[in-house]
Amino acid sequence: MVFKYLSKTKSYISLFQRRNYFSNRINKLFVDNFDKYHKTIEFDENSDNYYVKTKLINILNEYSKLSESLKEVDKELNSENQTDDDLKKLMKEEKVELDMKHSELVTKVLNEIYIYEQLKSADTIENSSNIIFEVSPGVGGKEAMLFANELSTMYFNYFNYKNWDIKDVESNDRHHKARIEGRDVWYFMKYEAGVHRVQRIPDTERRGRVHTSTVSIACIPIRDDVRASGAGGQHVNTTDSAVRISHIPSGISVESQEDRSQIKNREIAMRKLKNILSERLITEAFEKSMKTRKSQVGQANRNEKIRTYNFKDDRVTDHRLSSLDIASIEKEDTLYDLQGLFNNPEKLEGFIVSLQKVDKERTLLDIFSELELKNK
Amino acid sequence: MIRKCSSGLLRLLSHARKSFEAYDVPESINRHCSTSSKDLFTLQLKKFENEKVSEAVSSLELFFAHVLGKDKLSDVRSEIKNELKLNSDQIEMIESMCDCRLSKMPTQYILKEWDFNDLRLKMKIPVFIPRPETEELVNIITQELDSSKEYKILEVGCGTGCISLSLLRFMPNVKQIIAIDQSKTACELTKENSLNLELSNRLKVFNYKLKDDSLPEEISQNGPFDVIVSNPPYVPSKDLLRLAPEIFLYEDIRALDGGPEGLNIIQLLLEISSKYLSKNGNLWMEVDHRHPEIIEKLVENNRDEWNLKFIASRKDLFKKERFVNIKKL
Ligand SMILES: C[S@@+](CC[C@H](N)C(=O)[O-])C[C@H]1O[C@@H](n2cnc3c(N)ncnc32)[C@H](O)[C@@H]1O
Repeated sequence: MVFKYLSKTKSYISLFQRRNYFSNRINKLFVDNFDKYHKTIEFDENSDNYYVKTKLINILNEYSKLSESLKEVDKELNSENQTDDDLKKLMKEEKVELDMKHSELVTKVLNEIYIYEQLKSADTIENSSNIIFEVSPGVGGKEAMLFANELSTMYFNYFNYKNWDIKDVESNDRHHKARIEGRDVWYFMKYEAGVHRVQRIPDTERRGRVHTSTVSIACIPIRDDVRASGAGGQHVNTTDSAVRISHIPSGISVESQEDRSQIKNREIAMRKLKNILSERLITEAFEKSMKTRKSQVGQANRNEKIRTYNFKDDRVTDHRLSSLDIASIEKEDTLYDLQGLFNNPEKLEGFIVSLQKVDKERTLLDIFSELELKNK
Repeated sequence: MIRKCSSGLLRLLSHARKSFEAYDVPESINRHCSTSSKDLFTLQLKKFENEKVSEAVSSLELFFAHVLGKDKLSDVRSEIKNELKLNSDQIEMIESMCDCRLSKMPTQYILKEWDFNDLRLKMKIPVFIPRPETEELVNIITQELDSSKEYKILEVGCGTGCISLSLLRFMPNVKQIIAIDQSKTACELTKENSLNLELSNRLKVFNYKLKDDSLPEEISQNGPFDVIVSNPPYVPSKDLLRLAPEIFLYEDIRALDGGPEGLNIIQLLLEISSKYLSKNGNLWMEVDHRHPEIIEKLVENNRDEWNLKFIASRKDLFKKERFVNIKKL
């Protein structure tokens, strides 16, 4: 019970924290300039955005109304001719409630702004993309290979937990590779790429020294383009079964039209792509995509160290979560339970969700700075 | 649904039938005459383009592959590029196949065979040509079924037999499949394909047309069924006139026409499932991408009467909602 209560207060605190951080900026940008912003949204003619647009406008309206009532209650409370204590108590209670609602609304407003602005920037890789997943040992010889094995087991457990399809698995001491297909694969896996560092005493080490070794993980978003859309199914009869698959960051794409079956052509194209995407190309492609993309958290460069697994202290630290300071949200960068992490996919998901949150918040801050700049 | 053909189209059709019979000659080798495959290819391609034949290149490649006895299209492409010489029989055969195609006959009917998953099936006018989406339907079902259990399956509208035959091939634990179709030609073709593939001993085919929520004794006595599967006609009637001539002129319209909203047979299938599925049995259907939502509501609204539960819909490889799974409670 106590615990439940505590965690609830904690989430209230973070809610208020976020509101305090953002509400002034929201007011300035969207409420004080409501007509102006309203117009920019109104004139956005992309009809795909219709629902998002109306939702955003509605929620901004709601927000500005609530802000007004909050102001009024404040004014009443502070005014000198307010002497009735009972009435004052009642108003205080009302204020608490309004505050609560207001904070919740800030979160909603932020969410809608995020969705709307994300939709406008077309260059983002679709969250729903599938990936090629690859684990390879880095420095540290046998110990690195061992750790690569353990990490890949951890991730494969996670894929099963997410109900994703694991295809074309190749697994040996030198590398572990597979294609992962399913719901929002890229959205959850994009933060896992990079160098994972392990610090522990290998079983073979006689003098009890701690070794440091590394394993690198690649997640490569891919997209398959098949025949142009239409109603499909019984409405269409086609013998053209060509399939094209593109590696999104580099724009490399391969096609297969060898077989009569689309499903088989897709497999063939996949195999071709994997052969083309040698280590070198992957690295190049990633560096290129890092340069072109805005400051996105988490999607590390292949050589960037992202996590350290320290067995002596039984902890895992995510370096991106610890290096980024974002005042508006709370985050944990360290987990004290290594076995838990390896055995329980939910723990890994905990890290991923934190990274998603931080990434989103950073993007939001970027969006705000951009809009504020335009407003000047 | 009455098909209205202009006289031009009729002429096309009769022309097609003639060429269709003509190329079906026994193979013999004639080494005297020779024309380059590349020249023939270019010439025919031009004709196709003038007549606005759809998928001109891929049709032509498939004809060449068929006549040259090659399975891989990439091999055919390189043979053509290298100007492989053709003998007169081969040329004649390719020419009459092209004539059929000029009359908008679907390539699969001209080849008289087509692949479905790992099966090579015989095709026959006007039996519905299997679509790639349906390959996925079969794959989903085989993934969802438990390979340690035995299953009795009913397929409604078997056409070429593609669904039933793949299930029999992939799943040795399928004990029996009852396949029904309103078209006699389809039933015969399904039987023929099952014999060719040596998959006939667990399959029973009935020429029967589903009209209401009951099945005749000879079919129902094989139930209750653990799985009912169907790729029923689901094209809304108003869409029929807008279909490509390949489909509209040559494929059995009764294989496509699903009534005003495309839901006529789907509705019957739900009723049949409620009566003839065993407890926890599954109905799998391929449907139009606009249907899953409607079907979910339909099942929900008739929950008390049907005792069915809408489990899920899945997208096909073109990202369209295409397959629905419904369970008997
Ligand atoms: C779209 S085709 C599917 C054929 C095959 N199962 C496939 O997937 O390629 C529909 C089939 O259902 C048959 N059919 C249509 N209405 C029917 C009915 N009321 N009773 C039985 N079969 C029917 C048609 O003859 C046709 O073969």
